[in-house]
Amino acid sequence: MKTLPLCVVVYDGPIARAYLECLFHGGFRVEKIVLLIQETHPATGKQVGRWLPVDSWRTAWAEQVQETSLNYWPRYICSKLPDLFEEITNECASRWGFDPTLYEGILAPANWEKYTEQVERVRISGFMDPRFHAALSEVAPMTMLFTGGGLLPAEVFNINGMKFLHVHPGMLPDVRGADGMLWSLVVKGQLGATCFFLDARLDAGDILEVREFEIPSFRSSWIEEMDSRMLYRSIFSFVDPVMRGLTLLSVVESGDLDELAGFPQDESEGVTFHFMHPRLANIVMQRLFNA
Amino acid sequence: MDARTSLEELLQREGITTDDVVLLDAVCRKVDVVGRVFVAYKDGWSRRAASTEISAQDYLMLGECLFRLAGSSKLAGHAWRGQRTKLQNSALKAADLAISREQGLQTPAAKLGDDIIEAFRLEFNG
Repeated sequence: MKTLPLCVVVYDGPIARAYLECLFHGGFRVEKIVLLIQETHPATGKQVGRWLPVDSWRTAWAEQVQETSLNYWPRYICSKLPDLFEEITNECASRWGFDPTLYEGILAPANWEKYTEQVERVRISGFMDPRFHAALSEVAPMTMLFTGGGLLPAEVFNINGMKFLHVHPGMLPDVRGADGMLWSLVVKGQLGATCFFLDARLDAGDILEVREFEIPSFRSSWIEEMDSRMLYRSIFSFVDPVMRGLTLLSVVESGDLDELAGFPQDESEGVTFHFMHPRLANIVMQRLFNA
Repeated sequence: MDARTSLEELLQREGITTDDVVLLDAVCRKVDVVGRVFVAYKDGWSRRAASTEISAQDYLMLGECLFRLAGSSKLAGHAWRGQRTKLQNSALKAADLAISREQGLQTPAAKLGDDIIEAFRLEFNG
């Protein structure tokens, strides 16, 4: 097992876990994990564990609460809808050539020490929180992998020697923004993910690799049998995260992380999309549920 | 300048410019992300110039404008496919906003929604 000179900033959930599991299955661990622990509940936005008398207890409680909340749907689908889970995960594993036991690691209770020797837990109120900036500054200089979504504050990109990798679940530069996987199917007729250097702009940094994925084909009767929101959750629990993880693995395997060089995007190309309306998403998902 | 008038003017003009695309992006952002459109904006649509939200009827008309633009010759061809579908998406969301503001608009908003879905399905399924 090789240890990569990489610090993974973990926003817990299937995406962060898929990155780490894909690297692990590829024979890589990482130098450090910075585990972000939100002070507020991911679903309700309320303060977590304010009633606890000791700060470290509040951190531990908040970590447990977010672990349960942010992994709720993947675990629910795996346990309550095993046929759907089996079909999606086996089809992706077979099409894309990876070991389906990878999903066991994604769904298991958190075990960050499996992936690294160093885990630092940082309780934050958001990305503007000075504790977030301080935690990243302590790690610098190093290449970081940001596993969350949205924009980071511009100041973090000024930390000396810091480079941020990110994987977008769509084909850059054509498809930027939210629901990249679905919009890539609409605009390009393809599935793909892009590894790039994150900067203060949305999905506009230098590109390292655009990887196309064969479109999986799930049983069409799921469309009639299942609530479309559940199918959407299944896709974003088991398909999108692994596309990202495999793309990262491909970049890592392509050369020395410290030597990576991307190619710039033409910002005038492409469209920045917002979340797809559920009625449009239902039509697009039929491209996946068509067997 | 209000959103619907700007879009109506855009529909009347020949072709489409970079500034037009910036305007469309701004309108889509208001509808899709903010979920509210105000009656006037300044500084290139970055700041609202009024505290009054447009009416439910205006949301519906905004949705119709976006849908008409998506289907117009300005955005014909493969190169504009992304922009077209983005506008259809926002038009659908504008129809939802109209219904959420006034239940009485259910019938025309549902009709607009069905038209958008039909156009999207036709293009997506080739």
